[in-house]
Amino acid sequence: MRYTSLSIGTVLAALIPAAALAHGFGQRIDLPVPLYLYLIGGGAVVALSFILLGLFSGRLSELLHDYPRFDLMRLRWFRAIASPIALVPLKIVFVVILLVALASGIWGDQNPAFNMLPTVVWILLAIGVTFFCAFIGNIWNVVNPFKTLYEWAETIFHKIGRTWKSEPLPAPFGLWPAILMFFAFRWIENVSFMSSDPRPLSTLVLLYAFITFTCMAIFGKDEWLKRGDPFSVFFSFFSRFSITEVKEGAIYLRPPAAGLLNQSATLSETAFILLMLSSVAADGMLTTPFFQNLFSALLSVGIPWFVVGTAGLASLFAAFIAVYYGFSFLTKTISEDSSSTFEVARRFIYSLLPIAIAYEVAHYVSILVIEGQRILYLISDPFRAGWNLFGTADYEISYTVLNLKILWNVQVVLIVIGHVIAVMIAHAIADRFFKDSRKSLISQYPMLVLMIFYSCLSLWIMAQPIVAVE
Amino acid sequence: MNTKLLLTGCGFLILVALTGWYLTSSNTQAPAPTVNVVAGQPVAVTHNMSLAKRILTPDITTVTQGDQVTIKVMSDEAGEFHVSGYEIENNMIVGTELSFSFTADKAGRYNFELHPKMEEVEEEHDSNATEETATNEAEEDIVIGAFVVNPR
Repeated sequence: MRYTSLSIGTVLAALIPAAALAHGFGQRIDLPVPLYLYLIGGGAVVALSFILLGLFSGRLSELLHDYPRFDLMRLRWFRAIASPIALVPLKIVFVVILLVALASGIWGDQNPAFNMLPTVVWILLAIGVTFFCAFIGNIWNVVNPFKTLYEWAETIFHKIGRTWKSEPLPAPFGLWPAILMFFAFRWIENVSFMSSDPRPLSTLVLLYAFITFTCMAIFGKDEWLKRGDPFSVFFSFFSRFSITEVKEGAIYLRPPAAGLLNQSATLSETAFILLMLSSVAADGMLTTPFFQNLFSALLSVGIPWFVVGTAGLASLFAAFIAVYYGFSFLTKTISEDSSSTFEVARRFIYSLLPIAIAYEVAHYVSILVIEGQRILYLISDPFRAGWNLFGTADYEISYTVLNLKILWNVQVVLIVIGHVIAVMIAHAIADRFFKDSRKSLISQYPMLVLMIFYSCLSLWIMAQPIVAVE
Repeated sequence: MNTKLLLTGCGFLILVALTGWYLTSSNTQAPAPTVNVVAGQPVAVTHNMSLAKRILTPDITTVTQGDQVTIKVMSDEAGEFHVSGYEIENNMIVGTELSFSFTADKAGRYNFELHPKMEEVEEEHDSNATEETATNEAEEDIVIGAFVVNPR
């Protein structure tokens, strides 16, 4: 262990002068997963793929498709907490958090560690809400403060007799506005140097609010949230993995990942999911020694960072599209099916989500646990004015809550579980799609290779030393 | 059906082999007081660094959790040397070696930060500007290196 740590240190020391890639906000304290765990994780991924390929039968696939659902609205206490009136306080809380964080960003202390805005945007929203949506359900649809503010304004305008008609967003636009803005969001997080600076960040939030309100007014609230708003689209995709399902006003409990079956994505939806997958990997991937060396080589030639960083993010997206399309083509060819490559691509795209979610959790859980503690002292004194609203202003971040050895094992186990779920979902989709059981089995080989590659890539990223100093 | 059985069998074999390997490797990684007493015990270590033009050499210091760490820094700039996470802050004076010790009880990767002192600005401006410099000083966190504590 001593030698491993020594060598990791040496590698790190040699690479530090490379370009510092700014990550959204928050210091990672976790260390790279040790080599033996990485190899075991990779091996387990391969071994379990074999087992699943062998054990999976048409009956299991039918069982997955006819998953049990439980109507939560049958429970009186659930009806009570899910009623529109009971949700009002929750909505108000999120609106207050947004407004206070924004005010803190503009007028508060400009040190990111003592300002609410970076923590609210990069920890609470980008990590906290994402985790919640992935596992419990689409909470963003309920608490989205921009939506709430818009609804309130709409009610007031209606009361004073002002109404307007919205034009639906033209169909050819698909999800492309959301794709564009989501790319911009990831760009701000990974490439721009202002992601953690409160005042620039508050300008961006205001700009986002302006775009969102205007577009909701022009294209209609629901229409825009469904197709144009990057966060609503992102969270709605993640929540398809979750254990709850909203259908015709009722809320059902379902097994996790069941919502990924029976889906057929459009072209722009496929593109959005691939952007999601590539951008989830980007934060970890672009800070690996390999990429940092590449970046510093490009920088030393005189290419500015914004070009290098943007190209890095865009080419990662392009690579994900190319690889996925390639494997869809292989699946189509090997199964000798008459359907087009795109038809295969849009059917199987959702089966990759479990690996992305597993990686997202493995990668960000340490930041959420450590940096998330900031919110405790920040809510008591959001402007660093000496207040102590909740008596927690003097709270100090505890780093010992995280045991790194346990974290490593959790990270590897998460990836393996994500992989197993992904393989099972892909099987079940194939059984329905190809109908012929022989075809369905054969069609699994390329997808399985892709999934093994993707899971091992996730493990590889976590086993890499983080090079960027900041 | 035979292919399926073969695949399952292969998978199980690999899995069993991996489990075995994991158990043996985690045994060697764990603190094993009977086998390797010297390497398993916390030690006292001293790390010498120099800060020139805001570049720390060496910029990565690696220790093992529990070690008694002494850090010595020679700097060409006055300011505070901050070990983030450990929240240890010490004043550096040009020409004098800064030396401090602590126990590395928290595993993880922490930053070495420099909070520079802005003397020149203070001298140039009147009393009005002094206040501003004070806030500026608090704001500037320059990450100059990393402190890596491997778990025991």
